[in-house]
Amino acid sequence: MTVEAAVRRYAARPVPRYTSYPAAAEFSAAVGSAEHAAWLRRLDPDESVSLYLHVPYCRELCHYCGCHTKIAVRDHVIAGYRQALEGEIALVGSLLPRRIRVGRLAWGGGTPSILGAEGLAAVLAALRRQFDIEAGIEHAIELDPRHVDPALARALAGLGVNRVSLGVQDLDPGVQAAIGRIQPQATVAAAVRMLREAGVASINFDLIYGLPHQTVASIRATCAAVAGLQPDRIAFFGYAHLPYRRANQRLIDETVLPDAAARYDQARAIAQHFQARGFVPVGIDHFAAPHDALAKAVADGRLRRNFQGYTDDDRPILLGFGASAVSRLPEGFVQNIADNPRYCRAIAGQQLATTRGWRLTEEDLARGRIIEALMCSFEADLERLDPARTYPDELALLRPLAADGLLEIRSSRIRMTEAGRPVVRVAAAVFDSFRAQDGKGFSMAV
Amino acid sequence: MAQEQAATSGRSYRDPCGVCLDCAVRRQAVCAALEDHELGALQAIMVSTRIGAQQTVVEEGQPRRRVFTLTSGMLRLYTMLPDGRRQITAFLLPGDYLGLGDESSYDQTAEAVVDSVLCGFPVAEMDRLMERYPRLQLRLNQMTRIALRQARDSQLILGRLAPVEKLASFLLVLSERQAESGEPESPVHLAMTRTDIADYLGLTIETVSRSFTKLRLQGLIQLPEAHQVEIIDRRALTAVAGITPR
Repeated sequence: MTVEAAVRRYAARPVPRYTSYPAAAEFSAAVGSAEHAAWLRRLDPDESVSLYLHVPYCRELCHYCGCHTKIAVRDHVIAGYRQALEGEIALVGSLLPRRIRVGRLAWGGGTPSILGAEGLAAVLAALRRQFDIEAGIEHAIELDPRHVDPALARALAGLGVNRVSLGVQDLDPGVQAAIGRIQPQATVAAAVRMLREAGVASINFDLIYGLPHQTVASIRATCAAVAGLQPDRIAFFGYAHLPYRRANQRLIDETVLPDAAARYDQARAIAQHFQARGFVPVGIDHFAAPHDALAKAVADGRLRRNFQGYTDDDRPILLGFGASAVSRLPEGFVQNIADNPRYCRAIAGQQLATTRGWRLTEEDLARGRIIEALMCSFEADLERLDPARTYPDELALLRPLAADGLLEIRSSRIRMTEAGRPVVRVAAAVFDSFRAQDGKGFSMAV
Repeated sequence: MAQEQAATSGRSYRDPCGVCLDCAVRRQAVCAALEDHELGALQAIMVSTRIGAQQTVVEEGQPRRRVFTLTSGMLRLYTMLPDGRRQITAFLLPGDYLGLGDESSYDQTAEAVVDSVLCGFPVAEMDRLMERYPRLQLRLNQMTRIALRQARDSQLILGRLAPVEKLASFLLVLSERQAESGEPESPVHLAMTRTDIADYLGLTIETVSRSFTKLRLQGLIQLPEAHQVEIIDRRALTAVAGITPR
């Protein structure tokens, strides 16, 4: 079997994306608001934290979307949600030992700009009442290019937003029709121009492969068009078709979805395109322009994995706000209720909206370090990352991958080969002790 | 103790010729040394015995008065360790000979894993028969060599460091034994319980179950039924085992 045949075979395997370890799917209801509150109270106030704000509303729902988001038909729903965010910020602030510095700020969704410039400003003001937001920090937001106008661009820049991620997916009209999101190239180009003119320094594009009617040709055309807009970063994800979980995905015609082999070709076409144009590969699914902070993090071995993908943020603590948001605290993970009205009601009742979480053990942390090392740098020195354990089962289970030429094992050091890099998730999954059940529910490795 | 049903009940397994000629292990067991027309001599000293699952065939320390051929079912051979653990040293499959390595007393206990059928022979009469048919002796020598090779496989399995290596090697050895007796290599029939496997591999039951799960998650095996293991990727399973059982 050729190495490529082996990679293709492993690529179809369902494995977590390991934006955290344990994966959020493993969180347990045994951890709730009591742990959340206690863990917040015990935070070291001298350590700066990262913040994530989740806005799970969109004006319309795209067929492919796998995010936690809902259609907002009425403005008062959005206003109510904004109030809940402010309420949660005040509640969390009241639990902190004292004011804590914020070193990073990110808005995701959904469509966070649905709050409007005033809404975003109000939430930021609520943050400033509880936290010391350092000057010049990275302040990122996800935007829908169809809903960017010069006023919004200027308002965002005025709020200190300096990095924007635009959802592009694929620019082919046939693909866009099939996924229920029509946004011609001109729309994307106009959004980029408005944001740059307003002074937003960094622009990221999110691309998706594995969409209905998508082909290597449509992807190459999309890549060529977006490369012309000189993005700072590219993130590309495989479409995860889970219609039994996501009602909106039932609108997608399964018969025109690319199969595993086509998905693999598409992912490779994206990677080849940006690599050939001097972009630096970042982990499994990001590219960064050489001047970008992420490219520098790769060069310096400082790349980290977080819920949004890859980052150069090395702060160990993340406070998440909003429905379904996850916080990473020194003692464990906590996740908020995903149902928007229930989240709002909990906060209105002055309660943390925690629904699940995970209390991290020393072993979880060690396995998490190994998985993160593999996901970020495609290698892991087990002895250095976890001097306490020897991982005999894991090393044995990796041998078939080594025999297939996907990785090399030298005593306690594992290194993915160049060919094996796309399926690093399969190697990482060997170190996941939560995978006692079938992998159903996770997306394909590529 | 084994119930000697055949000897006491009306059901006889000793009809001249018929039973032995149709026996599933005719070509694998010690009797393979004899021509069809010679089988009568063996049948004359043989008692066919049906025993239920979990019943004892012979007990460690008992005087070795009889030797056996397993014709169907499965036996476990074990020794109780001073700390109370049960170390299973082998699983006997149809065609295997019980009593090969013993001197004047049985050095291990043999128990039926599932309902089994054995042909028992008094030691003294078997010795006399071997003088009359030296081919029987040669066949037993050959079976001893096979048993030694199986013991070597077993040592390799037990010498593996990782539980998944032990389980992978165990499955491969069983698969090969199936193939040797003319059955398909896969699925592997595991008549024994997880506890038996644990006591053979020197692992806990939890570790055995977890190891099955790990092999399944890696796409190496499937477990269509509780007592069946389908080998999906033999090459990868061999790589995990880290040994090349012959």
